Amino acid sequence: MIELKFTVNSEEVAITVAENLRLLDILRDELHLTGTKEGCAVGECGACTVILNGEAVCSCMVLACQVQDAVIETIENCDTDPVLQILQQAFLECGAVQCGFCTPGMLLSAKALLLRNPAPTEAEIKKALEGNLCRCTGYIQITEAVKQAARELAESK
Amino acid sequence: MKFHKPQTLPECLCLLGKLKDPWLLAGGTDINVQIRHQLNVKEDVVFINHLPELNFIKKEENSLIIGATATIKDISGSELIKKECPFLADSLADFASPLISNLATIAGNIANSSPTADTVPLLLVLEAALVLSSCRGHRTIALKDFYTSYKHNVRQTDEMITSIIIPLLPPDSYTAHYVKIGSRRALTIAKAALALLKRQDEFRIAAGSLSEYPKRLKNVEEYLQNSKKIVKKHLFAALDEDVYPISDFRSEAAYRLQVTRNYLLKFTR
Ligand SMILES: Cc1cc2nc3c(=O)[nH]c(=O)nc-3n(C[C@H](O)[C@H](O)[C@H](O)COP(=O)(O)OP(=O)(O)OC[C@H]3O[C@@H](n4cnc5c(N)ncnc54)[C@H](O)[C@@H]3O)c2cc1C
Ligand code: FES
Ligand code: FES
Repeated sequence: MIELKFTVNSEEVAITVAENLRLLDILRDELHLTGTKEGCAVGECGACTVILNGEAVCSCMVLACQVQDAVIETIENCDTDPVLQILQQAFLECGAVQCGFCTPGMLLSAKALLLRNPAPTEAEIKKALEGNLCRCTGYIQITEAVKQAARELAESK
Repeated sequence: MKFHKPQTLPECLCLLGKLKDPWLLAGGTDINVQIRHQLNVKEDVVFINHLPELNFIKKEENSLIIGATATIKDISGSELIKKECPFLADSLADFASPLISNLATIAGNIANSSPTADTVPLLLVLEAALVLSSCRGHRTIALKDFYTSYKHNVRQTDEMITSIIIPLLPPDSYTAHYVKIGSRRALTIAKAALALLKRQDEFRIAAGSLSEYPKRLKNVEEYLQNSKKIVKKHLFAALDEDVYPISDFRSEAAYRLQVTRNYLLKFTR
């Protein structure tokens, strides 16, 4: 077992977990933050995307020990975070959500992009989202939604 | 599995000397897949990603020195590398996806010893060297001498890669390309890969996914260096001596060879 301290969605967490757990398991099973999804479990689908120390990563690829002192953001932060809220609204308006399984990961990859690049080109959006698979939408609506969110964020500043 | 988290590099090296066959864990993007599929899982896992001594990118005299845990994202986004070795930064743009390149480390890619490792053909044409460290001391070996057979290398179990040294050439003194052939552009593992560097009359060519580990194509290089006019038949004969493409779940041997021929011709014309 390992004692861990880290921050999730601006709240400090201190828990003791089995060392072989992945960040994905800690979020879903220990902290009951089930917005983060498990798809492939091998880094290929992006359903498990979270923002770890400012960068979007697959939480199925991160082991317990690696999150000591980390700052983590999950889709549950949508309740309070203005950037995620604008993205969420844009996804709804553009028809970028069907079954919704990929959506938490898409929003977090998109947020990580907008944080470092507030006015991305279409190519940059596609690049940032290339690790997030969607079986339903065909991606055009998703790319449009990120563009719309970027415009709205620029206007709101 | 037992997990270890040394706090300093000397502590880590000392620990490696004591454990029987430790499994270093950097970004975890290969190891987590192995754990998932229960493939060659080892008992003692040693975390190294948090060690500050290993995370750097710097220039020293005429070399770039990259710390073991620099990620693919750190390298492709590094202003220093974009300036001093744009070929390396640009060629890593098609590595996995951002979600993986934000975690994947350069030493993990090299040490994993996969024939498909994307950094290796690039580093081979740049004639990079590895620093291997243990509690016994440090040694520097050329990357070309690191691999011994499929998934095997000369690293001893108490050693780890601590840095990668890339001798710098003036960026305008050579041209270089990296082609990675996969099923698609994004998030793909190479079916075949070629790194080509041309500098005056010197050709440096390395291939990935075409033999048991990535290699320089010595016969092709020699042929190109010594031929005024390139004869297809002779070029392909040299290639046949350098590579041993196989058929597996990713591709067919015949396809691998054909695309490699095509790209070689394209770049040497
Ligand atoms: C979805 C997905 C896509 C991928 N796409 C690509 C791709 O496009 N191109 C590509 O080349 N690879 C790809 N990979 C493979 C992997 O991401 C890379 O090989 C990566 O660079 C491994 O680095 P890591 O830090 O994550 O390694 P880890 O998983 O931490 O370690 C890998 C191996 O290296 C050893 N090791 C790690 N650090 C050291 C060290 N300092 N000294 C000695 N041994 C060490 C470990 O013990 C282990 O055996 C992909 C993987 C996934 C899951
Ligand atoms: S569940 Fe992590 S990438 Fe698919
Ligand atoms: S909306 Fe169903 S997977 Fe994307």
